[in-house]
Amino acid sequence: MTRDWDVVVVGGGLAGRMAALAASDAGASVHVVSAAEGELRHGSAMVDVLGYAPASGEPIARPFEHLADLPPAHPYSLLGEGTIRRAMAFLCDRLGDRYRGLDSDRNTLLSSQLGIPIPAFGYPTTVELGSLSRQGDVLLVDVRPLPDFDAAIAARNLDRAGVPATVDAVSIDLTDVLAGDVSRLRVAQRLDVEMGQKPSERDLLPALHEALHDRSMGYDRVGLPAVLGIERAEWVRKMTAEPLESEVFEIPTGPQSVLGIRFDRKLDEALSRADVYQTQGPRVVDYRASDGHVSAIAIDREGATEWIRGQHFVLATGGLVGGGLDQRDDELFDPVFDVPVDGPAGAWTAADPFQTQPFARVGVQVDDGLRPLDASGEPSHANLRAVGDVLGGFDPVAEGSGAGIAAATGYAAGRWAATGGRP
Amino acid sequence: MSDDRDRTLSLRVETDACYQCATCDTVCPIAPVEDSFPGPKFEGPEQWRLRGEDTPIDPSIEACSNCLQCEAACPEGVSLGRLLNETRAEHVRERSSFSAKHVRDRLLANYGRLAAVASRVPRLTNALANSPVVRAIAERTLGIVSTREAPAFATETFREWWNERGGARISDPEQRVAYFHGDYANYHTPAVGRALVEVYEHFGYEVAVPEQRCSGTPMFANGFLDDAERVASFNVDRLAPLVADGYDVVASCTSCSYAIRSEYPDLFDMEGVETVSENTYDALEYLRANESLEAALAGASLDLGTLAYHAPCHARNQGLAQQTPDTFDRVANVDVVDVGDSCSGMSGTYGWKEERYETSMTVGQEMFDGIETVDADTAVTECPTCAMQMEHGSGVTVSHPLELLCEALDV
Repeated sequence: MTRDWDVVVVGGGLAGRMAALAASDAGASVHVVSAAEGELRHGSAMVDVLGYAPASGEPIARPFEHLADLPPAHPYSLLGEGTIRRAMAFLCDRLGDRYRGLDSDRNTLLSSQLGIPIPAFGYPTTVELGSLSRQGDVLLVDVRPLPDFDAAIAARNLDRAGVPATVDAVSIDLTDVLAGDVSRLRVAQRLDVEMGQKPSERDLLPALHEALHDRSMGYDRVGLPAVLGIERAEWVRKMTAEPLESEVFEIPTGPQSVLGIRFDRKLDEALSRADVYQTQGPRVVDYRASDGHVSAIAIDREGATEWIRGQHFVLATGGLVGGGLDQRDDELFDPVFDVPVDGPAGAWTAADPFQTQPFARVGVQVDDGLRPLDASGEPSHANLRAVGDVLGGFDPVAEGSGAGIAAATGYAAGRWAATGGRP
Repeated sequence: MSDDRDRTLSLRVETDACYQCATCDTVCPIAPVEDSFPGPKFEGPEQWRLRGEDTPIDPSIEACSNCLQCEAACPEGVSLGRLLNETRAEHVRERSSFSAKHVRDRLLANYGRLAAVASRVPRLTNALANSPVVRAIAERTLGIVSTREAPAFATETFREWWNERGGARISDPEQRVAYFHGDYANYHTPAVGRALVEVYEHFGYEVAVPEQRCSGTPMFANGFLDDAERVASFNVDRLAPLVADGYDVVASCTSCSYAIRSEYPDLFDMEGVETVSENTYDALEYLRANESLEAALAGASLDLGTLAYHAPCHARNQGLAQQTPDTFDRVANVDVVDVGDSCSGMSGTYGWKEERYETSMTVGQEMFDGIETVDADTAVTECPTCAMQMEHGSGVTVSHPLELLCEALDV
């Protein structure tokens, strides 16, 4: 509609959605334009703030105590602790009772699918009992023929890392009942469906019970790869644990990430409740600006162009992987508003692949109002803000900060755009 | 090089871009409820990449409803639509053309041909189409479900009305549109077409109603690519000269606009197909982009209370999932409530097939539940077959947004 939106967000990942939710919460009309289903569905669904100490790279328990060690141009330094905490509390509220930790001070140590201890700040309730700082005996279970998770390897790695819990491993074989379904997604979908069926019609859940019943005897907690339903996860987890004498928790996995799909759906529901208008599919191909203000963006609908007008714009298109930064010759650029992107001062890569990589820090430079800076160091447009992975000056992998930066900068930009706060 | 080899190679452009992330599988409405269906990643990229030259297409492709949520979701822009259409077509070529299923699918796909004859005697057709005897025979011999109510033929088609009316009443070379009504609005819901004409004339557009055939949607969905190419060619030949003359093409059915703007150029190499595709729009989308609808609807009122809205998959794929609730947001005394992002399960001819009926209703359950939650007895959607499913599963009366718009603008 030839409507003038208060806030137009380009990008539908965590950062863009946080910007939209925060702006809408502050009373703005919001339009989110996103290209396709994003990376949320592949992610672990853990919300980190800062997982590793900036100087040493060691896992840390209290992320807020280390913010002062970050460089001044780091997005967290630009925002300040109060804004980060408010963003986490806001996200906690939007996710309802399915998340833990977002209103705390501490990271919790959880196991990755390889058995590497991972510090997480916010995490789904279904993984909570997998916390490695709890005492007690844990049984990790891998399910054949599902790929990617080997309980014995994970248990060995956790043991080597010296976690307080005693961790054992077992394999169960559900090949007969899973037949051709060798993906975690299909297993989760089947368990969802079985929740709506009479006990006599179910086959997967009884097979799971039979395989786990004797083996889980004597263990306090049983960890399965995250496959316990998508829409009815808490119910599936409860039903799985029912005949056992142990609690059941999920272990985060890579793609296909059932936890990621649930996280994506939760945020999508929050956007619907907030009356945020979404256009998903068309790409942004052009923009209009005058007097240092962006006035509209153009989207491409199979060759037909449509202009979307707004008072404020938020760039949340992601980093090199997400497609928010593009490259021509040896130069990086942002393909939407063409704001400059600085490459690393020296080499792009470190000599050792496992070292911290300089290219991970590339991205758009911003002022303390998150406005992208042009070549002369001034804000390129007064009403444009950049959030999430498109930003430079931080290393999401080495710091364990990707989701936290997305959530906090998205929240701040959305709120400032809607209220006329911080320039 | 053989034609087959050539086509397989050209599909490599799509399959090579797929890195198996399986986002498509996560949005597919059929895979979670249909055990025999392995999902779009297998049906599309994997079959074309991994299948041996002598290996036939896996028959599970028949369970795909061509909703193409997978295509819209793909982060790499792989045209799942093209791949699945080629898979289906290959399967249909390999299948015996004498099988009852083949005959039934061909009939459903070419429904417009039948409708053209049937609509000449609408009352007789309606009586026959809902006669229990006829329906029982159709189910037994052809596998067309008898539990659904056949769509009624209007006593006056849209084109008859248009000709009776004397065609366009406004002439304006600066703003003109060519209306693609498709078969459904012409034979079954001419009120939608009439609403489109009234609304567009209200905004000062010159409207043309060119000669046309079915958009091809049911042919794509049933694997009859040759039939689809024939109608596409007919339509492009009629629309291209109008586009060259400054007309934009607008469609009232989101599957028609999706076919013309996305499936035609993806699948067919024919003259004019690109320009027609680039100048085709959904009718409401076009008005929202070009007219100040918000101002026009200021002070408007529709005494309809709560309406349940379902976004058709093919509207969603064009990025139009929220346009209808948004359009009526400021209209007084009506509340258009989106009942969620699930598929209706109807998918054109899919829900008419006896062996798909149960799947169709299972997929639709989320939408039925949504409508029940909203507690509305009237509803709105852009797609005529989604509307059929809403009426069948929820007992609601369904309008098209253009009809509501016509009423709200009081034209």
